[in-house]
Amino acid sequence: MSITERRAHPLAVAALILYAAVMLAPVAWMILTSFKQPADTTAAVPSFIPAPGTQPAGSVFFQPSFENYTRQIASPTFGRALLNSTLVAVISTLASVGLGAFAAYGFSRFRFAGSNDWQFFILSTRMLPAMAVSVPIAWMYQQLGLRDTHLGLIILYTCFNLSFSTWMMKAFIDEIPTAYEEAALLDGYSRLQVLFKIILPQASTGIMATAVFCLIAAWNEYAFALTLTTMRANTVPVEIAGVAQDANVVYGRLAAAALLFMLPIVVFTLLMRKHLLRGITFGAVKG
Amino acid sequence: MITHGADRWTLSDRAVRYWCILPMLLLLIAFNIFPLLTSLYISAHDYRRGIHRGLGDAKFVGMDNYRANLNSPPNQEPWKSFQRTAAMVVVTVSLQTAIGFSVALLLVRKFRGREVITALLLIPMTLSPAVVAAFWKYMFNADIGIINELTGITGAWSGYSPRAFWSVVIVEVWLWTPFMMLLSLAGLNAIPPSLYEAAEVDRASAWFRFRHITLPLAMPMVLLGVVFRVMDTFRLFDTPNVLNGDAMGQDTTLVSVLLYNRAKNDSANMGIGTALAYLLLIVAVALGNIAVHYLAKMREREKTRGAA
Amino acid sequence: MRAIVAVFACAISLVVAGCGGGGDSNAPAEKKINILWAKWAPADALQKLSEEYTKKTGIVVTINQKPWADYGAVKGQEFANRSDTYDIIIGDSQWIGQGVVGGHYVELTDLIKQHTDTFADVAPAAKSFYAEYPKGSQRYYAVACESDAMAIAYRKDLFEDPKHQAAFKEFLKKNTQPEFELAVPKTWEQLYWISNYFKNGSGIEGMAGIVMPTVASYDQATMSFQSMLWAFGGDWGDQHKLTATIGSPDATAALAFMKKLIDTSSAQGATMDYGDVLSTYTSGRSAMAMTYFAFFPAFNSPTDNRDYHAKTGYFNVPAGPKGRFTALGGQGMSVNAHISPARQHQAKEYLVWFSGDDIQTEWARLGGFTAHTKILKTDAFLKAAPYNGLFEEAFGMMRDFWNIPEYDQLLTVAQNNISATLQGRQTPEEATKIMQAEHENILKTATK
Repeated sequence: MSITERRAHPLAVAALILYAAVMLAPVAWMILTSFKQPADTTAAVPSFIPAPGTQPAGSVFFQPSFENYTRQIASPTFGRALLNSTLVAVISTLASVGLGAFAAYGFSRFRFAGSNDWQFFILSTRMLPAMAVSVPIAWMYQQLGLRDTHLGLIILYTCFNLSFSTWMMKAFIDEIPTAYEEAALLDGYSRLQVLFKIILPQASTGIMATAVFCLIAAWNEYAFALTLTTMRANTVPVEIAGVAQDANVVYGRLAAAALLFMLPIVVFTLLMRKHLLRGITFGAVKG
Repeated sequence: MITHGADRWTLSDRAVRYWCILPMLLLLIAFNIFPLLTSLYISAHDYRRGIHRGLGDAKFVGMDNYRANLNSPPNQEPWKSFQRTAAMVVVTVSLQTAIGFSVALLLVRKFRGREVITALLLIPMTLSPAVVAAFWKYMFNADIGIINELTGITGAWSGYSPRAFWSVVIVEVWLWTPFMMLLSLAGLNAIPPSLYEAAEVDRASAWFRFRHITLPLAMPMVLLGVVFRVMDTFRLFDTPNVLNGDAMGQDTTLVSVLLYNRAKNDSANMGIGTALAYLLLIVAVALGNIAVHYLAKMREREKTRGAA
Repeated sequence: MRAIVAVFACAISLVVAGCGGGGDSNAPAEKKINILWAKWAPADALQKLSEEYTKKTGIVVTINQKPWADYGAVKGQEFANRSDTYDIIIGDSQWIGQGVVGGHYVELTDLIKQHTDTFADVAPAAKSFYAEYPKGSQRYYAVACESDAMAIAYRKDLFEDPKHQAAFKEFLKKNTQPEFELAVPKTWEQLYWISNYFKNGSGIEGMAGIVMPTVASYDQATMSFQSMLWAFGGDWGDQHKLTATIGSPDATAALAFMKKLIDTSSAQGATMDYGDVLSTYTSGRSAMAMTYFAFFPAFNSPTDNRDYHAKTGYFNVPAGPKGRFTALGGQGMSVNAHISPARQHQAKEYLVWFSGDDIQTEWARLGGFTAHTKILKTDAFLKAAPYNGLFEEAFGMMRDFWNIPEYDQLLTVAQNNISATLQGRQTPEEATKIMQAEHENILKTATK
């Protein structure tokens, strides 16, 4: 029986559950906070249990309210920011995964001069702190008229996810034995057909995993969005950062905004989990 | 280049090879070359963004900016920020890898609800650091935060306190351990079961199996994760900046934070900060080169071992 | 293969070449005004106020609010790119130097002369600090938008409690201090003892005496320090001669006093930002809070200060041995110099409209802080909020930090050293010595 089919020891399961509880405690606290009124978020005695009606000071009960959520959703810019974030994140992920998949295949299967150096160049583009490039890029965008446009953000996000997606997918494609392609080529298939009909399906779950990472990175990106967007293409992280850095920060509102923002991504990741985990449990092909 | 074949869409091998890589490379070059060249130009000048009326007003100073950075004594910036960054990288990536890998080991076996727990454990990684750090800051607040409330610690986690460093470590480990866990899972599951079966037949001990099969064969994926985490932690900015601001001399003043601190003063010479960024790039390039060659070697070794 | 690369390269350079340049500068202005400000309640108030302008003229006014922590960086970006995205920039008073010297702000001296009646009753301090550059030149580059100063909120209920009043007298006796009542302090020294009492002698668990902004980011620590600096007779330096005087014994005494005072603050006390001051005070953990008037509406609100808004009183900062001063805050409205003449004209009209008496009254009612003294004296204004009566007095005590183009470097030095002292990393003597040396350095190369 393979290692993945053995049953886990009950102690191991217990440890995992404990670990999950600890890891998710901050999220639970965020959820509780999002329903609290401002005074309860700063109270001397932290409260944990929502209960109807006004509560005495210093009790572990608090009166919940939806106001944090309603105010955030009612914010006029929030709706458009959400739309912008979705548009930019999805399109740039498709682009970076698409381009990256092709490049990954190329790097994985072909030897050519300077292959290592190119791979390395790709990796190095990820190494510069955003600070170092944000000023020239902002200027460049100003000149190109890309400032505050969806296209501008999409191109930028595609670029910075490209190195990651290429490397990730190359790693997955490397795992696919060349035997299949060689057989197919001998049978008269062209390279392109091999790529589309054999490699991509087999690496599909690796591609899925890469897409999830790229989507997350694009969805959460803050530094460039701050300086490159103003009113048309503004995305949600800047909105929320505004709530977080408000001189009069309302913690309940911050929690609500953060949860609203992470909801789509979390739901997406949970929905994709079968694909994610199946790709990760890829070993069935070998052996 | 398009050859005629039995099927319609055939391109020669050579064409495929180039077309695969070209679009991506061109995009990357276009978007990286320009900033790199501009930064190089600025790093050789005394350019004060808030006062000069454009790049033309900047005064050429050659290598002075670089010398200013390199000549500071070793117990001052920017060297201290390099030390802090190195410490941050080592501590956080080690913790993320150790915890992530251990959890992955536990997740590899079947049990009811495994998929749900794995998916739940991924959540921290999907959150936006800039936003989540703001909430952590609230939790770390010495007056109203839950952490001091529950643990009884009374001091602040911010400012010049050494605890500020650990607050960043905690948040970073919380955020990215799921990433290492995921990649470890990928690595663990790529190990052919036949190897374990062979080891069982030979009556190898659990420790032997772990040391000679599990660990080495899961390594490539884990190392890939380590490489990315090292690079991302090297240029870490959001978490320390949100948690503890960008003041000089704090335990959280990492290289990126120092860069921001130096760059944000519009009346100051931007060239010094840019020169520092370039020095950083050189260090990153050197490290990256090592990483790539090391990874390539790993791959070779795995291939020969697999063939055996 | 090479052909392909060449084609791509050409394409890219064509794109780059073709998309340069701004728009047609002779075109009439669209009916839009874009304003850049920080993300906070006054910006929301201005947005609401501007709806009336839209009703009157059909011009749509949009206020783009950037988070405070990044506001400076965004403004720097706009300046450096000489961008025409925004018509009006509502900049911190300290930004004026860069705005003028870098050529980013339109001069408004003539505009103000043309509309004397509109601008006549602006407090002289406001005109000078928010709009004039260089100091004393009578050349103006902004109109006062949001005026602000630091003042103190306090727990009236604790001060008026006879138990505490008695215990306070005991506390003073125990510490061999001259006796005085537990009431609004008249001097900084009195304030220190009241704060000390609440932290160490009142018996209220977890209570701090006073909280104030002290964090090293942006300008918090420096702003709090200034009121004490000037009250003890110290100063930053001479704006015209470009000399620094922060190393003086008076300044050192002020910093030593501030450190003493922060020792009676809360656990988070030495690294607080504006939000933390609010949170700690509204949670009941501090007897006093010093911060900007702009945050007082939160102290006064039943939602933001549920348990203590009715128990909170307000007073202006006390006097020191050598005077009574408060730190100036607030922003002025400036016109972006990089927009077309037509848009500049449109923006100027908005400025004049904004400064009109009726609009300023409405502005004050919505929560903005006006600098028009006529309105500060009206009953309506004084009754609108319990702290409004303090504002006129505060105008008379205001002083500001450097506003020359190099203000940001000077501020960073001040921030680092003051904050380090408050956290016990260096002594006040060391701090002022370092500040003096570094300020002199910066001023040496300052723009004359």
